[in-house]
Amino acid sequence: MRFAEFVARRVLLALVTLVGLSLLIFYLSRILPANPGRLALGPYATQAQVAAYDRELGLSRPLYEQYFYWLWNFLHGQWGLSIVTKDNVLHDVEIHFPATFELITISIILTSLIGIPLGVIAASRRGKILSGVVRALWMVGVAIPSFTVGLGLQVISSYWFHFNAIIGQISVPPPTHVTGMLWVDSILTGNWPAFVSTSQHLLLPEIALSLAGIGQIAQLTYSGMLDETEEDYYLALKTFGARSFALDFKYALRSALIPVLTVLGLLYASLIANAFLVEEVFSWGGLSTYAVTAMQSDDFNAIVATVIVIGVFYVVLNLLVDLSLGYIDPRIRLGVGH
Amino acid sequence: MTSFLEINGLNLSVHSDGRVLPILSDVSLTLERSEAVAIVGETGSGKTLTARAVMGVLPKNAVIRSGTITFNGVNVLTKEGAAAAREHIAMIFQNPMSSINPLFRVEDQMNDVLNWSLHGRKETKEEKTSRIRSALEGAQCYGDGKILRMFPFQLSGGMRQRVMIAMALLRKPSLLIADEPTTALDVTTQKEILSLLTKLTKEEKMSLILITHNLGIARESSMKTYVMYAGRVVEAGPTAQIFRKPLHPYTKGLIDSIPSLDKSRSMEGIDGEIAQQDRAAVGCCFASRCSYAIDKCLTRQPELKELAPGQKVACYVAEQGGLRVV
Repeated sequence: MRFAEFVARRVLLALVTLVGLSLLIFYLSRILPANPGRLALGPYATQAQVAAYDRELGLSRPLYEQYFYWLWNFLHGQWGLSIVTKDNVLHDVEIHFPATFELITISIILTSLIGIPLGVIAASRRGKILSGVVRALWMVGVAIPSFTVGLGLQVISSYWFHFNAIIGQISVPPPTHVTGMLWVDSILTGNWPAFVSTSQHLLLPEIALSLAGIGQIAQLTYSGMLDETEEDYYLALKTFGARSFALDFKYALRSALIPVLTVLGLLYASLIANAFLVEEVFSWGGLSTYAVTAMQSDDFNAIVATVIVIGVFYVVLNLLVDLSLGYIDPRIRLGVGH
Repeated sequence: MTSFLEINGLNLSVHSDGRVLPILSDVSLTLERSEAVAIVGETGSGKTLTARAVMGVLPKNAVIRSGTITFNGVNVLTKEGAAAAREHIAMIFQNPMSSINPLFRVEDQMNDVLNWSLHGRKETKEEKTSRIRSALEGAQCYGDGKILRMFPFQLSGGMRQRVMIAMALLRKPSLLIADEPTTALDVTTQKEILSLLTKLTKEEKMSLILITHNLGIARESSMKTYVMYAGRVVEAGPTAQIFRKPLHPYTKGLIDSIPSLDKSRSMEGIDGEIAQQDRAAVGCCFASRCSYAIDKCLTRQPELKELAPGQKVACYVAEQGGLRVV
């Protein structure tokens, strides 16, 4: 099996998953014991008004018909109106998604860039201080919820260091809209004051979001690397004159990365849904906040849309993880057992 | 005149769970240029650790307590000496399934091994390619360079061991240590790999240390044999002579336990289990399993003594004139 075939197979599987997801979430949203017309129009609307509203939204037709109607509209950017914001849900998502996406993407990049080298170096100097640091970081990260870290950081930084960028995304006029991600946009438009302000605002939530992941990834890399140094090939390459840098970062890390990549994918995907508490603490106004508000008010168009966006994010991530695992490990790509 | 490789009175311990276990006791071995030596013994007798001590790649919990190892006149027990020795010694391992990293193409790994051996010297791509090809041919890996594009798991066990040997050849070693090189392979492949090793030692003027638990292999491919038991050399000498007239009861037991097609000779095993090395070191290490043991064997460890020309044995019974059942 060639790499192209491997990719095609995985992409096809991802599409099937997405169709399944859309069916499921559509069905669930339609069997919710809520009355969207009544909710939208309020307690003083007459029964006839509610019925007319339902007809307008197509809620009186058979479910399968509603599904195809809904799917057709969804694929054409008609995501329906939000009961809460009275706006097209697609527009709401366009506003909220980039904020969360930027937050968690920077977090996952930081997690990889700090966690993986930390694990490798800790493993190469076994018994030294760094492995203790990794272990401590891991335990602290697992034990303390990220929103608590966020609250603590806010208190410490504002009270003791008079650092005031503790809520919101920016405290100067925002940069010209390019991607909707403020930090990225300020770089793209060369807007220095906006860049400084967004960087400051990112600092604390990124620490709060990344701490646990860094510990987890460092620990996973560390133990994986230790296992690799016990392998026969490690000894063999060492006797063939390998420098320890090449041995660790090229040969051992590649095998050790296989579980690390899988966990990074899971972390990234879980962040989009779980960043909610951190977003709340830092008044971030991202997608998670939008989704939770939608759930609390039975705003089913918004619920369906956010679930689908998060679902697509999961599926795309899984695909990327699968593809990179296939790239790293030829046994996966060529479909051979170990 | 010192020998090419000399191990003298090597004592090695392993730290495990706060305990110190003596693993090698007073191991001595000499090897001349272009000589093939076999180290024979059961699992856990210390063969592999002896080899790893020569390569300077001991496990982290192993400590050399006393003894010397010199290779080509250089002390390999210093960090610099070990690095210098590694330039001329190559080792191949028991399990070709795990001794090559599965995630890299044969080409990548051979390229790296070659680059490491160059020490910054520049060679053109063509020179490198031709050296890699000739190493593969030297290891009898034919296949028009197809092997180079393959991953290790796409090769058979025998092919992998050949690739391993080719990697070793890239370094142009003057000593090759083969640690159970054929144990994981089927019998016909075993035979091919062994004759390849023998051929290479002759053609490339390499010395060979062949570690094996298989006496047949030692007999075919070595000039000198060291028999190890429980971390000690119990008998050493010219291979043919040891097979014709083993003097140590353990060696005799090993030879008697080789299955034979000759029905007049029955196969015999050695009773008991491999000695635990953490037991109190009183008496001969083999005494508890030895059917010839006399009182003296239970109180003191015998020393290696030359009892026949070139043949050293550590056994009181042999010293007293031979193996008679008591």
